[in-house]
Amino acid sequence: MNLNKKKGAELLIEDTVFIILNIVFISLLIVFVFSKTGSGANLEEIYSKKIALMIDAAEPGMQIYLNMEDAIKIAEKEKVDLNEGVVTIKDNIVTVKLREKGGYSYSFFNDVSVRRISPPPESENLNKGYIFLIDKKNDV
Amino acid sequence: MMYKHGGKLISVYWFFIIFIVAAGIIYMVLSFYNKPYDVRNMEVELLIVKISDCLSYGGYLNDSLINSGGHFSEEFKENFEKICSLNFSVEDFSNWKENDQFYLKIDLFNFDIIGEKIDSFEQGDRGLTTFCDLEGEYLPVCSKRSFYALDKNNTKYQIEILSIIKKTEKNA
Repeated sequence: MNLNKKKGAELLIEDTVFIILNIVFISLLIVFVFSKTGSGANLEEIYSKKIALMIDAAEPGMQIYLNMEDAIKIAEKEKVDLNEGVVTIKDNIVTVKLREKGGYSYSFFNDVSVRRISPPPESENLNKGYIFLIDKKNDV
Repeated sequence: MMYKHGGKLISVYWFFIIFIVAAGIIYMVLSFYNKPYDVRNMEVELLIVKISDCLSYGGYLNDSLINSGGHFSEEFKENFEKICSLNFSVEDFSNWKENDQFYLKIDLFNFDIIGEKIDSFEQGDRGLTTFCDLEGEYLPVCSKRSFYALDKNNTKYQIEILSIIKKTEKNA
């Protein structure tokens, strides 16, 4: 009787360990998949290309608001300056930087002047995206 | 005793299968997310639209760019980028600055005589045209569109625009 009980207890422990190992393994796999989907590097590429295409399609006089909430959250976590660092446009190249040692650049062919500004403080969109002001380029 | 040994054997196989499945999932996720997003199809179409809008408006050719004989003006040929508000400069990546990443060809045809080309203008790396008929990865993206327009004398023209974008290292 004691022997049966002992065998039963061993089986229970083995099965429990087996189930726990499975759960840990699958959890690690899920964490890996989710870390890849929302990664900073991925979003840098997506937003730099999105902004470049948006500027290519734009005309002078347009003001375009782009929601970048997911990207801004990552930038805040990585302590990137939201006002200066996340989206920079120099000449005709857009650079999106969400990590301290990251960044992705993409060029646009529309020869316009683009200014990136944050939504006004009273706006509900503050820290969720940026407004892009498209203007004719002034020849210097 | 037999069941105990059998149970351990099964769990070894079980974990071996799980590792194979996990390796497959990891490989699929990495190959998907490490591949860049290819936006050139949209980019090439936007470029054609921009040039079309530069050449004509409301169905009429811009007569400061195309004279009444259907020829491109010298000013257009020399200052094409400035006139059409285009900037083909690219970022300093993988020798892109040394090799043209764009190619454009604009052909003007006589609408009444099919195939009679009146004038042509091109800019960029002509060598990219050899890739247009090929299929596969890591190739430039080509697009050809045509439209019809009138000049101020109501002479009809067909304008054909071929636009090619390379930028394979960041898109393919």
